[in-house]
Amino acid sequence: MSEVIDCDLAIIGAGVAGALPAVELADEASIVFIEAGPRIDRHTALDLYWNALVKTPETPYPGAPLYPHPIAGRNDAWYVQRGPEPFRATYLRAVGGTTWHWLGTALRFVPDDFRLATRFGRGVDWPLTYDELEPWYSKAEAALGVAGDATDDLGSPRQQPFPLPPIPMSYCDKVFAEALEDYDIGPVRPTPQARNSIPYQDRPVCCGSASCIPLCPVQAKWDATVPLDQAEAKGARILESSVVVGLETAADGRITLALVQRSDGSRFQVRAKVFVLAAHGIESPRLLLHSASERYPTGLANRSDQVGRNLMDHLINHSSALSKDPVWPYRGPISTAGIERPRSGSFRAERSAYRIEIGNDGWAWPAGAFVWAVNDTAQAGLRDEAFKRALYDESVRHIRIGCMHEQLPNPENRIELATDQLDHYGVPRPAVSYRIGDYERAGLAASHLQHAEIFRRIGATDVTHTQGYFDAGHIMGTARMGKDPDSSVVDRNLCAHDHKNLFILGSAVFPTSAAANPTLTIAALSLRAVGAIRESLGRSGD
Amino acid sequence: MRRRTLLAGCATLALAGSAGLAVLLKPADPLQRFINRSEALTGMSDLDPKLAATLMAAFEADNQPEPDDAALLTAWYSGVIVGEWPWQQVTYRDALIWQVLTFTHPLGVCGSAFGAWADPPEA
Repeated sequence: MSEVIDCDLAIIGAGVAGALPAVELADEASIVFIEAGPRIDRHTALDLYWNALVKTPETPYPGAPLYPHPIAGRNDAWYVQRGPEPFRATYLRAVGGTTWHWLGTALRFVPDDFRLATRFGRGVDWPLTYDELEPWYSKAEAALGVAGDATDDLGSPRQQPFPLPPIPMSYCDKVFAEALEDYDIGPVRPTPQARNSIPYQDRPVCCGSASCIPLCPVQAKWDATVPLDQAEAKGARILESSVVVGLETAADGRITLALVQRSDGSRFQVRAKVFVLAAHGIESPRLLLHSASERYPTGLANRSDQVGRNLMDHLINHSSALSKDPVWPYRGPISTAGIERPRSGSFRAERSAYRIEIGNDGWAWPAGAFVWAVNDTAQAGLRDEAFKRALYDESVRHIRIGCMHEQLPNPENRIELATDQLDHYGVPRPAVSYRIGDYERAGLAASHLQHAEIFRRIGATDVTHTQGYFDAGHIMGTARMGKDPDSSVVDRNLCAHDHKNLFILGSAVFPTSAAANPTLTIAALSLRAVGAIRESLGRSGD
Repeated sequence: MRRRTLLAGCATLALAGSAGLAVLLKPADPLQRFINRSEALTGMSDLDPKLAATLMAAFEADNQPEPDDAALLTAWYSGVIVGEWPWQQVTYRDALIWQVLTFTHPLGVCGSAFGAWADPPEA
């Protein structure tokens, strides 16, 4: 008989989605987080980042093999790729989750993102409207400490100002803004971001480390360890390095137990009144599928057969160039401005919407560290002052823009269990089937032309457009919410249709992807779900 | 080859304490030759002997006892030994590139006062 831990609320996954409700509920309920990955030490992570030749988002967080996760540039490191195209989005398993290496962009979705089917005949509508979510966006902005300029709502009407004044646009942003003034794609605007412009939540202001991805050295960038610390201070427990390998149910459909295994093979169980599954877009459906039983032969919460399906990411194409005059990149946050208007319009009947991000990171991505620029200059035969002058003169003109496109839900894009390939814990690795469609390809083609025109207008040279697309690492859709239990996994309060004490939080519940970074919407939905979770806790004695 | 590796190793050890410095920096010393050549190539006159010893040892370990000029320059400026893949990152924050790109700093290190990025860097 293994050890049993009892609590009111068990939260599987210590990331943004699970942490925010815990802060709200920790005063009234005993809470236990079960987190697959370890705690991260910021200084250790920084050292790993500095010392690594190839600096990817995962560099500071080496989890494998005990806490396996995908790794940029190594498509088969964790996923079993079933094609036809590789799925490359990565995430972390750690206390704090993937917010360790998020950029911090904290955009709201726009109203049409919630009614794509009604407005454009594409995808599905969400079971709630922008107006219903709006107050929760405000609460999410306060929780994450979003810095922004409320004089332009960027297409998302707002009742409250931003909690923090805006992060100033970079000099590079202003060069773009001026050159594009007469271009009708919409204005260059400062990006709302969860980054301190004033001290907030006992965290300092941004010190311009230019390393938001993969980590902020001073935690000016919000990450989920902020609410986790708050929840712990209120009595919540975090069991790290503990992998949930199965969920058990009672005859009435309630979840009764989480079966947990530590990396050393020892096991224990967590018994709770209510369970929150907040392990992100791959691990949440993987656990539901792996928890299949006689009662639920296709897995938990899966009456609709939608668990694991409709996998989406945002597709990114980057273009880099040399500006006409110096813009002095590699300073400040990695991005401080963008063009938001292309995120919606009648064209969405035909092709993906997208947002345009202006980078302050020059050619650091995707070319990597400066070693390539240095080596090329050395190989070209330049020496001494000429060498230094060439490096300087070119680096001050490195510019990058990127477009982040929406992807339609497709039930054939899915996570399944690779039953013949087990991980360290004996659980099948995630098998991924993935492709993009004509809608996304048309969006990529449109933004490609737009990139070229933007560079033409600012007089850039040495233009390079990336071929194909990159992943944004925004994993969405694999436990979609909806009104109909036969076509969706959770209801509008994120409660599983099939299990009245199971809530699924995170971007897995997004019915469609929109064209904005998902974290603020994850946070707003999680805070909105608190009321329903509280009700479920109150009902659990019935 | 073996002797050079040993010497480089000794250099690293010796430099951990300042007493070894005077002995090590005789012109005939391989490390001093390495430094002399590096200073001529980089146009820098005050290269860190400790980093020089580390780079020299790393080249030895990479089977490049006599790195060509481009490889040596790249090592000093980027901190990376370019050779067999995967290249070896020896230092990041001490790479000379950060002395050249005076408008920025090693990424991951606090770079400026809040908002300084909104304007051109001070000359």
